[in-house]
Amino acid sequence: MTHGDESALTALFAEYGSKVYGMAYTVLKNTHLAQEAAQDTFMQLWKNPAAWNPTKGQFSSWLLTVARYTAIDQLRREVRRTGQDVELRDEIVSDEDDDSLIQGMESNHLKTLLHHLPDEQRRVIELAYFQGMKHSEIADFLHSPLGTVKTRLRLGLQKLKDLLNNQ
Amino acid sequence: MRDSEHLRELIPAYVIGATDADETRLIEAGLVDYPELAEELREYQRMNDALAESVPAMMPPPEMLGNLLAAAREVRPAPAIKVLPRPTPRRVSVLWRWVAASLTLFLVLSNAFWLYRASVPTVREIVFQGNPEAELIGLRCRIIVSSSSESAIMIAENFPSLDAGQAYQVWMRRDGGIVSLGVFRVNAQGDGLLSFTADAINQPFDSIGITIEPLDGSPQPTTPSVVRWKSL
Repeated sequence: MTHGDESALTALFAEYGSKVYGMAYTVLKNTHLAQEAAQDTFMQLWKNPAAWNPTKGQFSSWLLTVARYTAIDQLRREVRRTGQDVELRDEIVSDEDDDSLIQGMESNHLKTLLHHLPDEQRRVIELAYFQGMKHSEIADFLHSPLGTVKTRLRLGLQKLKDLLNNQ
Repeated sequence: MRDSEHLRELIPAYVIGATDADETRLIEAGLVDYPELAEELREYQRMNDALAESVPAMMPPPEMLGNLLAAAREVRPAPAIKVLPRPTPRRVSVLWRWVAASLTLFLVLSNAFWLYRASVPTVREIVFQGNPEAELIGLRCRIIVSSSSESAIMIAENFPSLDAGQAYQVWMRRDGGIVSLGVFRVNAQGDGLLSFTADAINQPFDSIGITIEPLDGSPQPTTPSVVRWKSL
């Protein structure tokens, strides 16, 4: 990739394409927008292969973080373009999703993890992690006191950390 | 307020990018003043990584790889090595210049090599030589296997469209038995993608065939292969 080798880009796509697309789709819930965001993610790496280096941690985690923020940016642009508010979803991977598109046994892992949390903690995590909202934006969106939002997010993430550590 | 306990409480939100701008500034300054918070930060970064990895992988639309490669051809990647401004000229012996240049070249090449090795897997491509019927209608099929990857991807091109309830199913014949590698559908241009574990393709096999089956696939092939590839 550092030499602009298309076969390296294809290899990266083979290895991470479904994960990157899965992340983009989870944020955007739209195949067309998710494809754009996933493609943008790979293009960022193509344009600047030195963007990642080993000090930034595992390549896969870094690439998925880039994918998440790219998809969130796309979501914000879409909200501005359409003038519609962000839809509050009850579940990140909803029952209406096309499960045939989801690969592997890990498909319900996120869903299972999030369902271990009380509804109010799960909801603030979804808004922060998958829709890119800050503390104050979540408080405005949910019409909840800022302190309550901060506490719910902190406790929810603490619980997620414990759940992931115990696996 | 910038006591360490308050900062500790903000770390989980900071790691996932949910802190407001003033809170972010507070934490970033506090991490310098309170080095004991670094371990807390690392723990939540590990959680953040694990959370990202738990998001379900999904099969991208078949045209995505083609679109990505087309976009990549439009833009060449930026050079990884920056050209530094020329230093103020000084009198240096020719021999010393050669030693310095050789050392610099060695360091650049070795760093570039290790960065490349660490970030990009090498790739192996298997192109299907189809049966005459497949060749006649221009079906193309290839498998990309990444050396460091646990997955392989099959790229199908020019495949005929199918009815709504049908899909292409990929079969591998090995040791007298037959196993399914998965099902895929194609878009209006006849392009499709299927990813499967690289183990399947890295072990010796006799042949690969693709048949038309119901959308959920069949336990065994029920129609003749539209394309076959014999292992050499």
